[in-house]
Amino acid sequence: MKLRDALDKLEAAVDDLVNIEVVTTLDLPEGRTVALATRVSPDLDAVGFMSDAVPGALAPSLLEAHQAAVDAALASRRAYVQLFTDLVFP
Amino acid sequence: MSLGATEAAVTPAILRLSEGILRSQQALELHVPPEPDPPYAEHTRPVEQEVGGRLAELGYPGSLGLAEQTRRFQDEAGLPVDGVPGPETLALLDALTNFDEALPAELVGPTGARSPALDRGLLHRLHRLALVDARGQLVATPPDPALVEGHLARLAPPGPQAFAAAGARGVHPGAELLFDVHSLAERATLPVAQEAGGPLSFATAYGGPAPDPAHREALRRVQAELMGLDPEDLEGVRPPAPATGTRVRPPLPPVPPAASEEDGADFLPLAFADPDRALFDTPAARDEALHESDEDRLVAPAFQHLVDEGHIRRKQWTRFMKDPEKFAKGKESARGWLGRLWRRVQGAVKRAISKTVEFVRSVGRRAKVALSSFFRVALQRIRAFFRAVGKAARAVVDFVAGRIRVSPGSTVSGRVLPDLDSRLLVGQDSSPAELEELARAFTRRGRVITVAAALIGLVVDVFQLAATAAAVPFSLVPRILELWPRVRALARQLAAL
Repeated sequence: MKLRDALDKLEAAVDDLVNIEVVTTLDLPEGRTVALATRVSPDLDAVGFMSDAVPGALAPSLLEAHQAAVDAALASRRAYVQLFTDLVFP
Repeated sequence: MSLGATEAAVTPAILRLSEGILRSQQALELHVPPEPDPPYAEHTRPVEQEVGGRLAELGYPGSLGLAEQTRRFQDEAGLPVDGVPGPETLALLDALTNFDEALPAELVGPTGARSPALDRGLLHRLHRLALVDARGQLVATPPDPALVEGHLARLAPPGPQAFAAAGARGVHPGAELLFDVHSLAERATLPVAQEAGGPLSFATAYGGPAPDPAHREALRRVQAELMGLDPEDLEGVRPPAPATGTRVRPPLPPVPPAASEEDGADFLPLAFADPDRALFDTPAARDEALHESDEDRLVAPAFQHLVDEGHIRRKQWTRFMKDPEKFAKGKESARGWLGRLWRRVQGAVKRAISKTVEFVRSVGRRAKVALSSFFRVALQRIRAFFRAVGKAARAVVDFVAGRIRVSPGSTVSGRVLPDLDSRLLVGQDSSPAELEELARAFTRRGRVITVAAALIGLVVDVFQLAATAAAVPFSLVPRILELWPRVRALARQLAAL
């Protein structure tokens, strides 16, 4: 394994750990498609995506569920960061 | 300044330095090597031993100085009085003071009278036999018979040949000497002493009236027994009664002096340079030192006393140093002494450096072992701690990660990945109620993860608190007060779940 590959893998792992990705998928007869997607970086920059395939009647509830998943992920990450911060800097 | 003058000035300083070093070692109770001989020792030692020391043993005080000692001895021995210990003087002195030598019969005159020097020799031997004290008086307490017999075994009286020769001349110095010696021994060790009517001094024994016939007969038996002769053999050589109070000096031929008196004084620069100086505080101390068989006990205090009091004659010392032969030998001896001193200093320095290096190395080894042990233990504990924390975090993640539970038969589902990413799957026919239930499930999962992380942190803090409290108990109270709000908040969160 080259060093460059190792560094790329390490960067990807760190990126995967510190970034939160919440993806809501619609199960349609023609196949599954991404309806909503959110990516939150460690500096709390967030990127959202909403597909046109989301049914209008279901959109508010679907958006609420997606937002709850994002909030839970953020709370969990905050708790873990607090845990390791207390361990390193008590 | 010439080279010779420089050496003459430096050599006394070196000698004083050696004395100072030796005294310092003795004062500090360090290892004291054998005291090195000063460079003049090999020149003055024979004189000190053969003349000064032995004359002192014969009762000529060393405080008189060697010249006066020699003069008095020569006067009493009938030798030419010149104050120089020539070969004849030394030979006579050796015969008188050497316990293994026969007493010189030539010191007895034709009439049987003895010279005072011979009396001193006899007194010296009796003193060595512990039969008389330092003043020539018979000891009050009889000595150990075994000790006396041991000394008598070593006593070498004039042998049978001298005895016979003296008898042929009509005199009997050997018989007389042996008789007197053993009569004194007899008085001190045998019941015959009771017949003497009390203590008998040496002078009285030789100058006074003869003992009674019975006493004399008893002594003759002892004498014959000791010499291995029959009493009848001694009948013909019975000595005439010595003249009371008179002592005849034997007519010995005069011996020309080998050197002048001034040279003799020059030959002794140190210990006997001050004839008027009293070396001992009391007569008893002087007698004890003068009759001490160990020469070092006599010479060493006298030399040390003269050095301390500054009575070494600089002039004579300088003359000694100017003698080419003596100076060369002294310089060679001083060089050897300096070499030994230098080697001794080198050895001491090497030993000190070696011990210091060994000490530093041992401290370094111990410190290295201690530090390595400390860091190894600390590293192991840190690794174990983080390993435990990692396991706990992984257990929490495994617990919280996974499928989000909703009602059975629902068309929605959710999943939390270990890296906290989330996935939601919504069917085409999903109802808003199902989506609300999924939202509540995600919210609840987020709270569980938060509470679990807080609980892990609290457990870690409690363990740290316990470890700290074991070392510093008084720190427990503020830490508990600090943790108490977290415990209450965590309890509230758990109750809300």
